Amino acid sequence: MLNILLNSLKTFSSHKMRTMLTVLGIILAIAVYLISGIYSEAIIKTQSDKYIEFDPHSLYISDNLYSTSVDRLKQSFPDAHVSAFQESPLYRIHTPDEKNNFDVYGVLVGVSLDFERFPIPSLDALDCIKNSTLLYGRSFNNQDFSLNKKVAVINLSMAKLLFGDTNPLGQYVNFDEPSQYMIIGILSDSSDTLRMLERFNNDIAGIEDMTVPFMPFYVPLTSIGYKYPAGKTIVTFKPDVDMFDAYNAVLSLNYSYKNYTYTADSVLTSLEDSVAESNQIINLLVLVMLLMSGMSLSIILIFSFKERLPEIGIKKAIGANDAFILFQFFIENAVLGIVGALFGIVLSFFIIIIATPLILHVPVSSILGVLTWNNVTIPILLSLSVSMAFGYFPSLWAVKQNIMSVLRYE
Amino acid sequence: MIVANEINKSFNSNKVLCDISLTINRGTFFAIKGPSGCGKSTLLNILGLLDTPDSGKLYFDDELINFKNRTRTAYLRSREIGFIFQAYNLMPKLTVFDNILLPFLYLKKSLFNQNLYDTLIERLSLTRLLTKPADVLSGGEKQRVAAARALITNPNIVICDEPTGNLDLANARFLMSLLKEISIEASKTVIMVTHSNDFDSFFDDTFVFEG
Ligand SMILES: Nc1ncnc2c1ncn2[C@@H]1O[C@H](COP(=O)(O)OP(=O)(O)OP(=O)(O)O)[C@@H](O)[C@H]1O
Ligand SMILES: [Mg+2]
Repeated sequence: MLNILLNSLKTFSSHKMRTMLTVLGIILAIAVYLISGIYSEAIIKTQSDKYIEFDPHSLYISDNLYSTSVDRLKQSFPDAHVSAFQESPLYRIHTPDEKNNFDVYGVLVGVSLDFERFPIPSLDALDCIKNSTLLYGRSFNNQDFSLNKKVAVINLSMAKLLFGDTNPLGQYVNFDEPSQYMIIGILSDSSDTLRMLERFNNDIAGIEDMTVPFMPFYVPLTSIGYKYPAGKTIVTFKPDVDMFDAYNAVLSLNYSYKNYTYTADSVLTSLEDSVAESNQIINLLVLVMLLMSGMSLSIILIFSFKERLPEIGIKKAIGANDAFILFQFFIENAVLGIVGALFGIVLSFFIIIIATPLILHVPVSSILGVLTWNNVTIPILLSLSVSMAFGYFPSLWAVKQNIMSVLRYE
Repeated sequence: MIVANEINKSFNSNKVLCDISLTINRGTFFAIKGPSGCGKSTLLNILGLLDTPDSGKLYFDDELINFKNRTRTAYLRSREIGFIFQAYNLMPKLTVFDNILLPFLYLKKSLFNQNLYDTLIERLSLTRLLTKPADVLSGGEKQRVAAARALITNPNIVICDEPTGNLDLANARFLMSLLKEISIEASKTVIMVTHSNDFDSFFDDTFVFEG
C-alpha cells in the first residue's frame, strides 16, 4: 500500500507538467468554491455582527401595532412590554471605537401618490413635512406632489446606516416596492418633526383596518442588498413565554402581520437565506466547473495512460493482475484529487489574503474568523470524488488492454 | 509438464502458428529454433500466457488454461512463470535494483529469497549496476537485468526469448550454465528460443519450426 503510494508520487514527480495540467481544472474549481464560500460566510457573519443583538424574547414587527391590538396583546401576555421605536430604538449601530455608537430609529418619509397602495396622507402630516427644517437638502414641495415624484426624506441615523459616509442626497432607497425613491432631504434625529410625524402616524394607526399612509418608519433595507426587518414595534415577552405562542398571538390580532413579524432567529435566517440564494448560483457554477474539470481529467488521463501502456504491459507480463493495476491507478487518481484540492486551497487562501484588503477594503482578519476545518475537508472530499469518478473509466480502459498489443508499443 | 495441443495463431490474415503441438516435461531444458519471423516469439508468448491462441489447448500439469480467466493467468504468470523478453521490457526510469524487485510490488514480501537474490546478482555480474536507471544500460546489461527479474521469483517455468542474443560469449555462458543448473538442481522447466548452435549440448530437447 505504502509502496504503491510512493510509486504514484514518483510517477507524478517525473511528470510534473502533465500532473499539473491534469489537476488544473480541479484546482480552479476548488478555488472558486472556497473563495465564494468563505466570502459569503464572512458577509453573513459581519452583517449579523454589525446590526443588532436581537433579543430572543422579543418579536420585531415591522409595522404599527394599533393601540387596540396592543391592548389585546397585553391581555394575553400581561407582562409583555410593547415599545414603539421612539422609546426603544430599533437598532444601535456600533462604531469601531464604541464611542460614537448611535441609535437608528429607521425613519423614512416618502411621498408616493400611489393611491392603490397607500391612502392619501393626512394633510397635517404633509404640511408638517413640507414646513420642517432639515439638516441637509430640501423638503417636499408642491411640484413633488403634483408630478408624483418618487422622493423621500430620511433621518440622519438612517442615512448613516444606509450610506455610511457617502452623501445620501441623490441616492435611492426602496419602500417595500420595486420603484426607488430618491433622497432629497435629511432630518435631524432630534427634530421635532420626527415626533410630530410619529403622532400623526399614531393618529391614523389608531383607526383600525386603515393602512398606514406613506409608510414612515418601515424600512426594508433592500437598498443595501438584504431583506431586513425593521419595524416600529418591538414586543418583549417574559423569558418563560413560549415564543411560538407569542408569535401566534400576534398573528391572531391580524393575520397579515405574518409577513412582517420577526423573531431573533428569523431575522438571521432571512439574512442567511438571501446570501444562500446568491450562493446557489455560485454553487451551480462550481458544479459545472467540477464536471468540466472532471471531463478534462478523463481526457488527459486517457492520453497519459496511452503513453504508459508499456509500463502497464510490463507489470501485467510479470504477473500483476488487473485488480492490482486498477488499484494502483485509483491511488494515483486519489492523490491527483488531493493534490488538486490542496493546491486549490492554497490558491484561494492566497487570493483571499491579497484581494480582501485590495478589493473589499477590509482587513483580512475580518475574514479569518469564519474559517473552519470544513474549508479544508470539504474541498478535499469534493475533489477526491471527482478525480476518482472521472478517473475510473480511463483506468479501466488502460487495464483491459491486451498485454502483447501493449508491449508492442515500444 | 506443459502440453500444447494444435495451437493456431494468426495476425490478421497472416497465419503464424499452424497446429503446433508439443510436450515439455518438468525439469527439461527445452530449445525452440527456427528462422526469423517463423513465429517463435509468438509461440513463447502463448506458452507464457501473454497472448491468446486462436484455437488449440494448453495444459500446465493437468490444468487446462482458460485464457479468458485473466486473474488466473495473471496468478500463473506471477507465481509459475519467469519470462525473459527478447526486448527486455524493463521499466526505463527505475533503477536496476527496482527493476529486479518489480515483481514484489504485488507479490508477498515473504516470497523474497535473499540467497537467491545474492546468487543472481553475483552470477549475472549486476553488483555495479544496481543503482543505475535501466534506460542507460547497454543491451547486454539490460538482458542480464531482465534475466534476474525473471528468476528472482524462483519460477517453475522459465521462458527465455533469445536471452543470449546481446551477450558476449563469456556472459552468455554464465547465463546458460545458470539456467542449466536451475533446470537440473531445482528441476525447473526452461524453455528457450535461440538462433545459435553454440549451446546445443545444454538442451535436453529441441523443437524446430519448419521454415
Ligand atoms: N502483434 C502482431 N501483429 C501482426 N503481426 C505480428 C504480430 N506479432 C507477430 N507478428 C508477425 O508474426 C510473425 C512471427 O513473429 P515472431 O515475432 O513470432 O517471429 P520470431 O520467430 O520470434 O522472429 P525472430 O527470430 O526474428 O524474433 C512475423 O511475421 C511477425 O511480423
Ligand atoms: Mg522473436
